[in-house]
Formats: sequence, C-alpha cells, structure tokens
Amino acid sequence: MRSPTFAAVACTSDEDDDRVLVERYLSGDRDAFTALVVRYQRPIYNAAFWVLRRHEDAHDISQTVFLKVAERADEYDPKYKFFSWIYRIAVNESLNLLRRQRHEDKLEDDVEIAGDESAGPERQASAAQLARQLRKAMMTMATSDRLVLTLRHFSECSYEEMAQILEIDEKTVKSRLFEARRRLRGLLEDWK
Amino acid sequence: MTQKHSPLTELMHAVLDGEASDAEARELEMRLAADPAARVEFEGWKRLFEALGAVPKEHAPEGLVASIAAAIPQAPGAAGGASQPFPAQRVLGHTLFGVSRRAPIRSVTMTEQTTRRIFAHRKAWLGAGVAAAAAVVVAQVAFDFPLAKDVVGTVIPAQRYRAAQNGSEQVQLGAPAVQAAPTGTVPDASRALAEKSAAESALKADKAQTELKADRMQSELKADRAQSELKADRMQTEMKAEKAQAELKADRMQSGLKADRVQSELKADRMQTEMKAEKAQAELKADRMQTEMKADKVQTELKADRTSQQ
Repeated sequence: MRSPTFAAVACTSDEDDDRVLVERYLSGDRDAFTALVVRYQRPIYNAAFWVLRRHEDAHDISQTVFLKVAERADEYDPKYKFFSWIYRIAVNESLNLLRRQRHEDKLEDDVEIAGDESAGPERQASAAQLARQLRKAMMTMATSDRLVLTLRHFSECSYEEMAQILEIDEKTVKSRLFEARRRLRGLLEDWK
Repeated sequence: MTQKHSPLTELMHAVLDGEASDAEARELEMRLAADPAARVEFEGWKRLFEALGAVPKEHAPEGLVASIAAAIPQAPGAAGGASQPFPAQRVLGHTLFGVSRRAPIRSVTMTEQTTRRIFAHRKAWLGAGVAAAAAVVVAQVAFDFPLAKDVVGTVIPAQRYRAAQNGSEQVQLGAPAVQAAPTGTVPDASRALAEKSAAESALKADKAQTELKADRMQSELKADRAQSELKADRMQTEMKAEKAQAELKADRMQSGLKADRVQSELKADRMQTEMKAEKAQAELKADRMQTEMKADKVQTELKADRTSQQ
C-alpha cells in the first residue's frame, strides 16, 4: 500500500544490491562504496537534518556516518537491512551531536516549498502553504517526534524497520507515531 | 503526556500506514460505513498523512559524495590495505578533520574502538622509526669505515654529489673512500623522499579519479532522479485522470440510478393512480348498480301498490 514517490531510496531500497556492494567493497572495490554513498546520501542527510535541524550539522554528520560505515563495513550483519544499519548509525551520531551541543540557536527555516504544478493555482498555493506549515510545525516538535515522523513519512520505513533502527519494539513505534501525529495535528489546528 | 487513543483510531493509522491486514482494512471500512463521526475523523487523518507525504525532502549539498568518496579508506579486510603509504584511518581523519569547521567536536564522536585502532597504527609506525634509527647508530658504532686513512686532502664524498657539474679530471680514480663513505645514507634519504613524493602524487591522482567518478555517479543519479520524478509526475497525472474518469463514471452511474429510481417511483405513482382510478370506477359502478337496484325495487313496490289499489 506504500507509495514509491520518494525519489531518493530509503527503506524501500534493494537489499540484495546493497549486500553485493558491501561485499565488493570488503574485497577492495572502493567504487562499490561510492555507489552506496550516492544511493544513501539523501536519506541519511534528511535523517540528520530532521534531528539536528541545521544543514551544516547534517552535512558533517553525513560525512561522519559514511566514513564510520566504511571503517566498520566488516561488522555489517547481512541478515539485517543495510539501510537499517546505516540509518541507526546516522540517528545515533545525530543524537550524540545534539546532546553535546544543547544549543537553541536559530533554526533553519528558509526553504521555499513549491506547490504541486499539476494542481490549479489556488490548490497549488494551499498545498504549498500546508507543506510549509507542516515543516514549520515539525521543526518545533520534540526530537523523538521528529525522528519517528521522518522515518515513517519521509523514508517510508515500516513499523518493523523503525523498531530495528530505533531499537525499540513495534508497539512502542506505533504508540510514538500516534502521539507525534496527534501533536502535529494539534499544532496545525492552533495555527488555523 | 500521552493521551489514551481508541482502538478505532489505531486501526485508522494502521490502515493509512499500509500496515493493516485485509481483514482489518475491511473491518475499518464497515465501521466507517456505519459511523459518520468516524468517517470525519478518518478523513482528517488521511489529509494529514497526504500532507506529510507532500513535504519536500531536503537535498544533500553538492560535493558531499565527492568529499566522502575522496576519504573512503581501504576496506578493513581488503588485501593490500597495509601497503598504503599512509594508514587508512589517517587519510580518513585528515580529510574529515581538515575540511570541517567543527573538527574537534567530531573527533569526540569517534568510537573508542576506532581511536584504539588509530593509536595502534601510530604506535607501529613510531616503533618502526625508533628501530630504524637504532639500527643506523649500531651500524656506525659496529663497523669501522676506512674514511680518514684512504682520503687525502679535501672531503671527496661531498664532491661526489656535485659530479654532474664537475669535469672528469676531478674524479679521483681508485679512491676507496668513495665506496666507504659514511654519508651513504644521503642518497637513501633522497630516494625515500622521491618515493614518498611519488606515492603522494599517486594518492592525489587516485583521489582526483575517485572524485571524478563520484561526480559522474552523482550526475547519473541526478538524471535517474529527474527521470523518476518525471515518471512519478506522469503516473500522478494518469492516476488523476483515472480518478476523474472513475468519478465521472460513478456520477453517471449515480445519475443513471437516480433516473431509474425516479422512473420507478413515477411508474409506481402511475400504477397507484390507475389502481385508485379503477377502484373509484368500481365503487362508482357498484354505487350505480346499487342505485339502479334500489330504483328497480322502488319501481316494483310502486307497481305492486298500484296493482293492489286497482
């Protein structure tokens, strides 16, 4: 029932292909690892951005994550999805940095969101407005809320995959998602 | 603070997340059909899910892939990794910390295990250096190079290194000092320098090649992404058209159904009217018959009266 609309690969990526690339890298082919970087740079960057809310930090964390993955490639257990593994590293690295920073600097909120061009001008404007409001609302939410919403709605991860990444059980995933959505709806209603 | 949520809402979320079984989806359908309030709630959640799906994703900055690709170390288990001119972790650390403005912070993020690995390599290199220096000292002490006794006058070994500028007349034939010069480490050092420089050039070339490759891959990815987005747009348009068609069809069906219903009702009305008319006719007929019978009876009685009077 998931819509494959996110151009960047995420939880819906080809697992076998990833395993082959990891194996090739382990046998000395660095291009194979570059292919993994190309494939996962966007979801990893998004994950880091939605935890840290700063492009600069997301850039740094993305570099750290891929280099760490390269160093530990021999520790990768192929019975798990490669994406789950790398995403978990990205989440942990981002949370570590957030804990260390503990700053409440001005958050980045300068992204122009275009409307759906196939819709009429009025609907286009309202869809873009809603997307802008959602983004703004999400920026004000707690890290755990942002994290589950990003995993589910931006990276299209299943409950099971989210449980693996966040190292919690599926029931907790469901509950956290529900609460995050309820709070998000509350924020949007406040702005009406 | 968490709010207790109803199992029905949970079911709605599971269906919208695509995590519900067919039976659960059917159950929700039935419950929505029976409960208008639940339908309103479901529509609200559905709108939120759709809006979340429409929030544009962040784009990774240009050059991210190239910067990572240039710093990718040799795979931990790959053969030949140890023969690199620099340990992989050093290259990695150098690029990572050299580029970023927040290098000291990031260095803290390195795991203990990684740090230990880096230090282990450093220790090995340091150990090798110390051993080499010790060997040179031991060699100098242990061997008696016949320098002073076979060389007369100026310091010939120093002149050897300017041989390219000197004439052949300055070459002192048979001078054993040439072979025994303790400065024999100088050409070794120069060779090592040249080797190091060559290794660095090779590394630079390798890095440039990797960056080029990464750029190419990025371009391909961009093209793929554009294609996918185009495809998705087209699919969306087609889906929209299909949806519009379906709605039109549904409207038409609904209109057709409505017309049928109106026709049926009209027919029923007509039938009812006709039945009513028939009934009225029958009653009228009955009335008339009754009246005629009554008249007949009256006539008969009158006749009988008249006969009896006569």
